[in-house]
Amino acid sequence: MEVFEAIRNRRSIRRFTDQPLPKDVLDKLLEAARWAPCGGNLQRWRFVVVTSPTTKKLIKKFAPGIFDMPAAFIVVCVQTVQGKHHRDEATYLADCSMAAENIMLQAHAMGIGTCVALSYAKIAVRQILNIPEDVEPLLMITLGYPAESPEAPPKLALPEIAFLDEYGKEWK
Amino acid sequence: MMAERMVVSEENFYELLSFMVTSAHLSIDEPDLYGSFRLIDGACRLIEFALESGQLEDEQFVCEFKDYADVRKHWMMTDEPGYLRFLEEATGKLAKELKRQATEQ
Repeated sequence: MEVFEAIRNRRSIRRFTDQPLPKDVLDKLLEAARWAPCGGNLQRWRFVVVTSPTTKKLIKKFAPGIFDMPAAFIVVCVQTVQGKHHRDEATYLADCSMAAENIMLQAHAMGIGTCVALSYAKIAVRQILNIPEDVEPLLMITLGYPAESPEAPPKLALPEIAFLDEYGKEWK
Repeated sequence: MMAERMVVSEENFYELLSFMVTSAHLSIDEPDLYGSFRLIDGACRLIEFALESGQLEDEQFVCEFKDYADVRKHWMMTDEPGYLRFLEEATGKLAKELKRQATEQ
C-alpha cells in the first residue's frame, strides 16, 4: 500500500470482529512504533500489549470511550523522568503520538482497524496493568479486524489550516 | 403492564457502575459535549442490559429506541447540530412512549 493511500484511507474503527491478532502481526506493529522518530533518540516510550480476555474486559470497564471489545489494546506509555520541565513533557507527548500513528498506519496497511482512546481512567489502567509510578500511560490504541467501514469525517480545507511563508498568508 | 421487578446480572451491574463512575471522573477534563454523550451512551447500555434480562413486558419501543440512538449518538463527533437535534428528538420520543404507557394503564 502506498503511504499516502494508507494515510488518506485510514479510519478510526470502533467495531471489531472476534478474530484474534496473531503474534507476528503484533510484533510488526511494535516494530513500526519502535522506528518512529523521537526527540534526542531517547526512546522513553513503553508499550503494553493486552490480549488476555480477562484483562481486556477489565480495561474496557474503565474506558467509556470504547464501544466494542477489540482483539488487543496497545497502551502507549512513557518512562517519565522526575524534575524535568514542561518541554520534556511536550517532547514525549510528540514522540508517543508519532509512535502511535506508525502503529495505526502499519495496522491499516495490514487490514487491521485501530482507534485511539484517551477516555479512560489512568488510575484504573495503572492498577490493572501494574504500571509503575514513574511510567505514565499516555494513550491506548484499540486494534482488531474491522466490522465496520466508516465514511471519511469532514476535514478543514487546506487554505483554512495552511499558510505560505507567514501565518495568515494564503496557501495557494 | 410493566414488569414490577427487574434483575440485572451482577456482571452488568459492575459494568454500568464502572462506566458511570469513570465517566463522572473523566468528564471534568473532557470536551463539554462528552458528558452528554456518556449519558446517552449509558442509556443505550442500560437498554442492552434490560433486553438481556428478558424481563421487559414490551421490548419493541426500547429495541427501536436503541437502534435509533446507537447510530445518532456518534453524530456528536461529526455533526454537532444534528447531535443536538437528536437529543431533543430522543427526549420527545421517550416522553411520547411514557405518555402512551401511562394512558394504557
